[in-house]
Amino acid sequence: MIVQLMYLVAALCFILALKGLSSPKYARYGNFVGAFGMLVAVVTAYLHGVVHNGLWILVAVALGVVVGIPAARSVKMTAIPQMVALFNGVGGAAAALVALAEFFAVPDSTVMFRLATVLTVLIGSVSFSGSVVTFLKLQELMTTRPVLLPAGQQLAIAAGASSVACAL
Amino acid sequence: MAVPNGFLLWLLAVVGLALGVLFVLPVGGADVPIAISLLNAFTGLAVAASGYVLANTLLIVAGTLVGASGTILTRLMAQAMGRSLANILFGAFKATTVAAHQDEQRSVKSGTVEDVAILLGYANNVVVVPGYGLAVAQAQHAARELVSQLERRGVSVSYGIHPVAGRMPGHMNVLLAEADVPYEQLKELDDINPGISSIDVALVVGANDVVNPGARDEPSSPIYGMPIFDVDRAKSVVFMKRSMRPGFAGVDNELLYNPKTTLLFGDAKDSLTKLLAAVKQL
Repeated sequence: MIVQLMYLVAALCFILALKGLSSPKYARYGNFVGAFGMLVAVVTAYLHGVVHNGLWILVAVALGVVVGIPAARSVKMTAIPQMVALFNGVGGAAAALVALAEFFAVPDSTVMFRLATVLTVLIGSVSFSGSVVTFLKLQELMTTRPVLLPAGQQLAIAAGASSVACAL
Repeated sequence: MAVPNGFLLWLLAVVGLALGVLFVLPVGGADVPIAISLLNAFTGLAVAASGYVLANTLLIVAGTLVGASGTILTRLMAQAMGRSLANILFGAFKATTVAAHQDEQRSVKSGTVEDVAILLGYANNVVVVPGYGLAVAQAQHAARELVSQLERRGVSVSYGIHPVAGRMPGHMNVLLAEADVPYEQLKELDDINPGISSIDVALVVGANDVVNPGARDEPSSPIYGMPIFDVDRAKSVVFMKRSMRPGFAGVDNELLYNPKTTLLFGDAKDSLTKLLAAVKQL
């Protein structure tokens, strides 16, 4: 009960954050509210969650802090889009990995569960690799011109089709 | 639906990775931020779906919020560039034919810092159109100081902020806010364009594609249809550039050859600082 309530608080913070971010005047305030909501969410999930992984979670949080704060502080204003891309890609990868781990942890699953797992893995990994390529392009580590693989479209269609095949 | 086994799920992850690469590779430099925004929406969807996997309501809510706002942002960015999303993602296949159709040297008019200072210092109203070049040169403070100096002389100045100035919507606003430019001076396309013919000087600092008249007049231009600042209709234009290199979209800019245009070559920050000194001398 209390957990759901805290989650509601966090969700409200996220909505207010989006509202704030839509105007330059309140963007910083919005960002702060969003960060606060995320803090509420993480702490709640941690306290509520299975305690037997507590140490690992703290290690992961520490790693994230060590990487994230210096990156966000030292990034040049001009390089913000690529940093957003990278952080976004990591988010997609995290979702995909969570779904993979959960799939092997839950032996008797429902159809809904499997569908959600498949979707998470697929979309999450698309998001991760796509974001890495956008990062490389904006950071000019690769050409910024459109890269046209021979039969690139057919390859993409084939990949899309085989993903559907894997999912079913 | 059959029971997906572990192997198939790993295979799916690999296919997903390949799909992501194939999806972004054909996107051209200027359109990459739109791809980022779309991928951001994808991440939101993935997180929402993972909320179902974990039976966690907050993940579903947060993921849906990201997915929805990312989708809206993607649409807005596509509109700001005057293109459909499908054209941005899959349109690269025709752009290669638009080669440089004029190779001959055309004359441009370049001015000295003093010329430009006189032009600006005795103008009634000035519009500054900043672009990515201003951000790269870290010239936002120098720009703000020059504007303040002009205002002290009674020149009315505003900034024309294109929705995709910089690299993403809001990018330029953040840069200028960092230099304490008041929000009221930041104007959008619809605020500037209707009255542009009464503007004495349009000062283009490190922008290029967003003032390219080709986007309005040249149906063969790859950026045709993108809304622009019609600075070629202002009384005069000062174009601060580092070199004659084309902009992010790699398109030649007719504005450079316009007789109303004075070019001021050099690093944006350096030129703005020199301009400030020269305006003070007037």
